[in-house]
Amino acid sequence: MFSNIQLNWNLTKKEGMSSSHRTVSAEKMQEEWLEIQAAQDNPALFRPLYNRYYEPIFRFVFRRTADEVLSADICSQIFLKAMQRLAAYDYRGVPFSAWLYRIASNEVAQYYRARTKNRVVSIEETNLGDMMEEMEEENNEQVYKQLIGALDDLKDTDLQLVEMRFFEQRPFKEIADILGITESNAKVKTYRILERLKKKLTP
Amino acid sequence: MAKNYNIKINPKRLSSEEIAQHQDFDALLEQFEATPSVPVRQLRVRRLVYISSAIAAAIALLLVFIGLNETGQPNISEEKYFADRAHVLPPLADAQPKFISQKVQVNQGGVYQYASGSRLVVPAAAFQNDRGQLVEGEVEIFFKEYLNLADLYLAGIPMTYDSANQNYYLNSAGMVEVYAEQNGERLNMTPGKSIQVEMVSHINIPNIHSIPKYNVYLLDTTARNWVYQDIDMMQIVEEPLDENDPLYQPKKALQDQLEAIAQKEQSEIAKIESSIPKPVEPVKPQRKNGDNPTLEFDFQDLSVLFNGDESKLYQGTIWQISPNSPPYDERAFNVVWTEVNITKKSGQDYELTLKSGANELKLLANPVLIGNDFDEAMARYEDELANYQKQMTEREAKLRGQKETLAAYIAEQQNAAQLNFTEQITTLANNQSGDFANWQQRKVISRFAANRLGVWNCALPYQPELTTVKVNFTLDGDKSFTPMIAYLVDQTHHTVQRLLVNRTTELQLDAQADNAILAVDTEGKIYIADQAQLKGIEGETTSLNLEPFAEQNNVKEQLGKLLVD
Repeated sequence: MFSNIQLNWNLTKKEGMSSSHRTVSAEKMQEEWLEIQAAQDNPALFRPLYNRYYEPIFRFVFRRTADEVLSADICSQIFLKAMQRLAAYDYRGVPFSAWLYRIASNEVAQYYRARTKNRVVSIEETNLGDMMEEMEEENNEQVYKQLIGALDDLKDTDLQLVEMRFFEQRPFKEIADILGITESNAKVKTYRILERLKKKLTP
Repeated sequence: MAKNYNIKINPKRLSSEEIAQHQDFDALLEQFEATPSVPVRQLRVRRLVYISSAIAAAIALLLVFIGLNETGQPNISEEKYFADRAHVLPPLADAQPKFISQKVQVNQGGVYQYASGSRLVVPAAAFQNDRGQLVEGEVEIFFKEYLNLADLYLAGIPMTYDSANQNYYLNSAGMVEVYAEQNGERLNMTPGKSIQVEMVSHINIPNIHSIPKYNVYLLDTTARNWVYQDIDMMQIVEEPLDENDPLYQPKKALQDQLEAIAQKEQSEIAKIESSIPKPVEPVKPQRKNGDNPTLEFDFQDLSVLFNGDESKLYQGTIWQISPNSPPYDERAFNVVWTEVNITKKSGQDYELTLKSGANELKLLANPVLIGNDFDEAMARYEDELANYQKQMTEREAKLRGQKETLAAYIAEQQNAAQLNFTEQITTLANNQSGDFANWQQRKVISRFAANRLGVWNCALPYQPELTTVKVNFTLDGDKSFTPMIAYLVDQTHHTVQRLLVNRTTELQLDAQADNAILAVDTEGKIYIADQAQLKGIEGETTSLNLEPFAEQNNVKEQLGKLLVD
């Protein structure tokens, strides 16, 4: 029997384990805001921000394309757009990284919209195992295949949430910042998606 | 199975290096400048504010960034130029020392020896990922060394060190760079864990009796500074003399002299020590513990023959078999022993040799006491110990003056031998052809604990006397060249400084040192103003020509020859 209480407890526990390392401190955000302001005045000063975020953004894109050259092209577009729109970025408590991931997410979506290709979803077996454990499902071949099939049926917005939470192991706060929703909304949505997936796994 | 998504299970992971190959901010900036700006949805007032701010900032930046040189051409501010770039700027990426990678099982750790003789000792459970989780399984450790001046130049790391607003230069004995990866993901050291590093390098030590105190610094690329970590536990490695070395004779003579001085020092210390006999340290009595068997000898009734004159010392002593004693047959306690030899061994142990006819047994035993005997002996021991310590203090005070006089004399002898050696080398260098540049070099091992991954520098901070000279540079005779990043390599102090070479540049250098300036243009071509051009540079203004480096291939080896440590 699927237990709501148990699932909520698991979600909370996982959040507690990882959030401290992925969320940005207010001080760091303030320091970064000064860098952003400098770059808003002089585009050449965007360099430290570019150097800081190039690799994480590249990895974000590469997980959704599995193509190194294509990821490099999309990354160029992402950072070009970021520079072009930098004047519009305002510090409202949302990390600059989340703003960049939003642009990255849109660029990836735009690439696939224009090509009618199926978007790549990168999954590590270990992460899938963790997900099954969190859903209190047996980790066997049959459930594994069913879960892949169930993930394939998800809407892109739902799958994005699952990807960021379970396959990229981001804290809910960061996911919420990237998707522009509240942290509690991100948790509720994730819970509901897992519930739906769970139902599909029932023999 | 998948119909809506292209699901990849366990996809390939890219390393940071692979990703970095696509990273090119300059190209992005060019593209940005060439692309018409995208309209931004902003309130009109805000946009106006932005534009006016941008104009004001641009004017301000223009005023800061741009000066005019003598020819009316703009000079870029060096400080601003470098502030806008990465702190580490290797001038020739392909010629850099290469990383050596090795696999380590995280739960075991390991010891890794490199061709240079350097060594890493990696403890178990030393790494965690960027989410603070301990990693398991196999981790790849990457190691690189920068041991000579050519390596230091190719590293592209400034050797300036700012400590409490005091500017120092770092005279480097060598640097190591260490990082770790698992599945392409960079790892961090687990808090509380350290990699023990032993870096083998060669440094100039004119007098081995006066070794400079090196420190260990970690590069902080964010703060753009070296950060002091610890003192360097540096040790000189004694190497056997090579008879084919052109300096063999003077080196051998120096070695013999120093050995003779050391022997003399030992014999003189022995004489001083024997001039006032050392008092005998009292032995702390031990209480019988009841765990081990005991023996007692009665020398007075002559039932046991004691070999020696000190039988009275041991009369009434209870001997408890020591835990260090060799194994024995317990039936030995039923034998009537007729003769005993007692010999003092280490600590509380005495060797008892028991004889009865042809039978002999050796035991280790401790003298022990029981009841009041022990309490009385302890009271006596405390008095004797206090007396012993007082006598020792008085003795040390009387000997100190003699020992200090001897130490001063020995140091004088050693310095005289060293001076004599230096004079011999100088005479040889003046009279003969040959390479005498490295005669002061000694092989050393720097030891330190690296509790973070990054670039570690074993270095000696110093504040040079700098001369400021306004230099009019030409590039292979051409006055109109684009400003270039260059490195001032100071061979005397084993350090490199980064500078921006404009057509007119204010150069700060130690004019008495052996300096060279190396610059690389955008096509990777090397230019040099060599030691001859820079030697004894003086005056307020001078001219220097950056000439093409003769060897554009095999650069590392050629630089190694040019930049003799």
